[in-house]
Amino acid sequence: MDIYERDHLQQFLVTIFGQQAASWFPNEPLFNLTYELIQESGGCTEAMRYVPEPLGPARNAFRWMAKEVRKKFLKTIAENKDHYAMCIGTTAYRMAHRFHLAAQGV
Amino acid sequence: MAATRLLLLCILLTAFQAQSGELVLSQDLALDYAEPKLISHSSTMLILKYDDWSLSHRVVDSTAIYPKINLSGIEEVYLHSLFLPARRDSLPKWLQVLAEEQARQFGLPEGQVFEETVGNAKILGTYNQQNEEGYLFIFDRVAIHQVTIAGTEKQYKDLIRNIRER
Repeated sequence: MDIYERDHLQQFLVTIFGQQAASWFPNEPLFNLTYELIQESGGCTEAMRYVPEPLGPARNAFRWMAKEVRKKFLKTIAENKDHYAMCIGTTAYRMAHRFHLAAQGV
Repeated sequence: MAATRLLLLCILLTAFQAQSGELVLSQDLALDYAEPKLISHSSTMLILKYDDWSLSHRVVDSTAIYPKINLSGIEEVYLHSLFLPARRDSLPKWLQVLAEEQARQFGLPEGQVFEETVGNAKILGTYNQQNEEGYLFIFDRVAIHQVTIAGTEKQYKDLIRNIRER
């Protein structure tokens, strides 16, 4: 991930999980979880239109997605973070445990 | 006879090893846990990581359950209502909808609701077979604890059994 991708991912994570996410280093597992979070949130499909085909749950989205697609995906979720905050809150709350594990690298 | 004694000794040793630590949740409550592979603490969450499962604990912050929503003052009713739908009647309509959606995320109403009492604390939770995750809220005198496990239903039930008064 380049610096812009990291910035977009972090902006999004801070909006969803609060200031605690400001201390999370945006790594590959956090990207994959974010992708899964967006994918599982049926009402939030704007960012998914950049993804050519659905990924199965075991697929590594970071590795699988073309870099340009990944950039557009991250830019979209960062630019629409307030919208996402409303429509993915319950999924994010369920997945918080996994985000913390990924952020801690464990 | 000797074989029976050996078996008993093995069971005792296993039980001893499986209960290697005590996590103090509050003045009144503790959780016995087996020795983890590692323990990690993020800003708000304590994580116990094992080879094939993990456990996390955090105290519920009513201002941080959802982005831009402050549930202060109604967090206890709201969290109860995730597992006990009748409790949703006292919530405003939009929170009823939110509770229903959160319950669905936890695998309800299909999943089984676990309801226990330990001393003065009430425990409510459910295990989601599909996600292989268990969610548990402990309503203590002064705080609400959230415990989540990523593991099997047996590990989830063991976790509930290991919560005790102190």
